[in-house]
Amino acid sequence: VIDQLNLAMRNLLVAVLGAPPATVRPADQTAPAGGQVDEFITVKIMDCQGLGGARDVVSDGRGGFVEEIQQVKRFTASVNFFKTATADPAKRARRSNAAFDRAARLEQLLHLSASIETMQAMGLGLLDASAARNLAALVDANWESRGQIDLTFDVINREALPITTVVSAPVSITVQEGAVDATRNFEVTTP
Amino acid sequence: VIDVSEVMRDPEFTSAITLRREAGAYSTDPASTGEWTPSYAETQIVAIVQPASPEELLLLEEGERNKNTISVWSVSELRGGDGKRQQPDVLIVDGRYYRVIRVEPRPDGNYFRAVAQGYVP
Repeated sequence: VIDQLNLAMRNLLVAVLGAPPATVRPADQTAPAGGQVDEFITVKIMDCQGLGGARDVVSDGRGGFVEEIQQVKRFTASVNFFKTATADPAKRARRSNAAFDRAARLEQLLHLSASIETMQAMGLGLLDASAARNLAALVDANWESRGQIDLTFDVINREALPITTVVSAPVSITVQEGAVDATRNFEVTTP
Repeated sequence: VIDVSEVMRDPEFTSAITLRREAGAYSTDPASTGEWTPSYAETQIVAIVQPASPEELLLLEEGERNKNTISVWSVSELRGGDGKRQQPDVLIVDGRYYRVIRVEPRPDGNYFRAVAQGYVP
């Protein structure tokens, strides 16, 4: 579930920000992040909580009966923006608040009608956005622009499991035909 | 300046080890947006492998000094991670795994000298 939520968030950010897909990444990967001016975004699902009771639905699917539990989940995604695309003549990142700026603008961009349409198509509802935070730092004496924002969404999670049903059962019926009892044995089978 | 690369190939001093170098790419597929997919190029190289000297261990942080650390000399290029675009090379010596943590290219002697630290895969 968490990986699916993370993927949905990344695809949402690609759509909303127009960012190249390879630059919107799950957080904490053991992978090279890129040079000083290679901008990228990371997503980490920080918490996930079920709200209210779960709804139990039994449906007759094509492959047999399926029990499905539906519950609203509220989750928080921490979105981190890293680096700036501008460098000085020595190819070191310039001091910049570019990443903080991108974090600060994200909530408004999510309120665009196109963004809402994208979220609806994904089944996501935006509940809240935290204050954007400026996490810029010096890394090895080089400037690294960083910004962060927490986004809280709700989503309906569905857990489905096939239910084992009777496939076939022997049936025995005894009927009285005049003075004689007649027994008929046969087998019924579910489709 | 003496070209000592010949010594680095001498079977009396060297052993064959495996060099595993990571490449990879971030996914652009919507089914795995932004996920790093590593690929590894594996080559056999010839190298001199010795336990790291006390002087080399002093260059490590205190908590790292008691770990299994080796010194490696080879004419084959060895790479440490640069923290930006390159993951460190992995060396497999007698079935044990080591991550290259420091490299000194010695173009004058035509060889590379590296320090690598063991880890449990």
